[in-house]
Amino acid sequence: MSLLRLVPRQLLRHPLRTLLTIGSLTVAIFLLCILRSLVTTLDATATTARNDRLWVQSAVSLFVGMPAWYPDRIAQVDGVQSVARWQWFGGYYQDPSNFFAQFAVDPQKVVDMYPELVVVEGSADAFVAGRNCCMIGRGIANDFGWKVGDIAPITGALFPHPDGADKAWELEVAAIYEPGARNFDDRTLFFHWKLFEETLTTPENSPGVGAMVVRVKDDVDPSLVMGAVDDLFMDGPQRVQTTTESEFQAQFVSMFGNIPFFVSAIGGGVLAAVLLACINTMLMAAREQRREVGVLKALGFSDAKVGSVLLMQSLFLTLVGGGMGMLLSKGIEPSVVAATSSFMPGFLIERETYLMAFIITVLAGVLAGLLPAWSTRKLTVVAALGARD
Amino acid sequence: MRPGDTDVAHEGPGVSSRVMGAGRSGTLHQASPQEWSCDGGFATLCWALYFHESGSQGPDASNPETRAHSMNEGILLQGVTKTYSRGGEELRVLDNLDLTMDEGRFYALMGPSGSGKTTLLNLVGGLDLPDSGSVQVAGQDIRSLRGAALSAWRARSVGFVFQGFNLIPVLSALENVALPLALTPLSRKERRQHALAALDLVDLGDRAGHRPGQLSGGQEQRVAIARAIVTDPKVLLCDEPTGDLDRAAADQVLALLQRLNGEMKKTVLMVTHDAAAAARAQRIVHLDKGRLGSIEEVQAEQAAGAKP
Repeated sequence: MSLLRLVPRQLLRHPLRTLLTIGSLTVAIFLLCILRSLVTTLDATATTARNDRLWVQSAVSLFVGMPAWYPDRIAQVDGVQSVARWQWFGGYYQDPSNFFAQFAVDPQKVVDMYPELVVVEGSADAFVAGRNCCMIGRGIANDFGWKVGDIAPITGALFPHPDGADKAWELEVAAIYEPGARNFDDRTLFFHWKLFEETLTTPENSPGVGAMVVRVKDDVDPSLVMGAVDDLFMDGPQRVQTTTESEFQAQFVSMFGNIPFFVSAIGGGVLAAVLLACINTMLMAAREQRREVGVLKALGFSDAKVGSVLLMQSLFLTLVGGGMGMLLSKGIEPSVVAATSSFMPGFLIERETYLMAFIITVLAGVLAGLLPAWSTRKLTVVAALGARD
Repeated sequence: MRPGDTDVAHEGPGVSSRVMGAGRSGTLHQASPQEWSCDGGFATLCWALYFHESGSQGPDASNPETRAHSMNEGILLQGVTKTYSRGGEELRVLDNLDLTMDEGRFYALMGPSGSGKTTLLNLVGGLDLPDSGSVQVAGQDIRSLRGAALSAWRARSVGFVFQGFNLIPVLSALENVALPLALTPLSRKERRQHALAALDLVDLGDRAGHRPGQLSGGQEQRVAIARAIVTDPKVLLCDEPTGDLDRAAADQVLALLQRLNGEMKKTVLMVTHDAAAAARAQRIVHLDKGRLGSIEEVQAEQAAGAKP
């Protein structure tokens, strides 16, 4: 009979209390993993973006278009390798609830600029070659059952088809990609700028450009190009704001407010509350086992050994709860990915997050068990047994 | 060793026993921790052999040699004083107490509430230390021990039986009995065999898997006794072991204690308020206000016939 066997037995003495404590730890560690991953995902989105790609947008707002001739002027700036047009399309498939990101782009330039878009079905060449072709992420293909060669009918909410608002833009799936880095999700559709422009251009009007991505030549300082592009339109007709892609992503993230602080504060608060609950549980356990502590000491078990039984109970409790929390977050991860992909691509619970959750779990166990273990250790046998004539 | 003697290499942790096959008497000596060893089934057999074959008489007090040995290995208190502080008031529970108890004897400790019985038991068991004076148990000065050394000595030398049984409720009877053996170098299998043998000794082998809550009070106390003797200590300290039991169960427990004293030569010190229970001992020590009142010798016929 080892004292170790006492650890789970004592915890199962009050199964409901143990279950509730483990449950609270499970929820706390689960929340910690998910919330922490939101922060790391936001960071990763910005940090995996490259500095040799610049984003040019209207200085007024990201939602204000720029004149169609801007890309040609920017392409003439020293140090610029190429310029790709991007336009947020804002459509949907069949029903507005089937929402995902669509962009009209210069296909060849986007394929060249973004090697992290890894084509896994069809081919990038086919996408570039066909005016009505599109490239979609694996997530969309899975969601809607689209395969290479299928027609993806997209209803334009911001840009209705000229033949009628109900008429869908019919795009042929030429390539399916998977993201090779975390700055992209797998739920984006790219289609030809040419199709977009030609469909919408009328004798009176032609679409502007929502944003541009500028690829800087390898040996050029991006900040010089940024300054040059901004200076180019200083006197109008519309000023632009040029940033590196990572800054652009960070700016996009900042639209959500100070999420890292907010999320960390919630996670920390939950954890602190659960830690207090664990300490309370262990103090109650120590009080209930007081007499048994006296018996063990009377039988000859040292103060340290008897104290360690309480500490092990605490660690057992937190490790089971924390482990279940980590497993739960791992199980829920795909659902979170799907739910956040439209505004936060690349959600991932990193190994470092699990490691941090494990360390916090162990620390919580030690902290919750330390006081009861210490008081148990200091308790005299006579006091523990309550035996005094 | 004479021809015909049975040499028992080991009977339980902490003790080697030489069982005299025909002599009806036995000697025990405390082994060093290095001597702790066990060979499983053989040890179990030794238990049985020992209890059935060894003599039922305690050490011969009339023999000067045995007497001297007993004095060394018994319990010796000299000038023991113990004071507690209660509500800011100093309460002298034991007052310069001198007391000698011979090895292998069964003592009952009596006295009114507050006379210091349990405190005396705690001091002898090394659960508490005196303010002054010396306590020697089985030749060991307890005041010279501290912390882990004191715990180890307790594990080796003393078995406790409490009024409230104090079994661990989440463990089975077998696991409760095996608990003290976790402090020995015995293997898991050997610990189980020893614990089963101890349970058999108290006639509860068939209740090994029962938890304390599934046992009667008398059975619980017998499990507690099995736990107290499983490491084969020299001294059994019992704090009102029959206090929570009905008459029949109390009688069983007292008979068992008598048997452990008579057959295993355990020194038994039992605190009790019950005169009939005290009459089952060989000597009754009366305490009064922390001082020694008197020591009363119990006649053998009286002890055998007494019923609580």
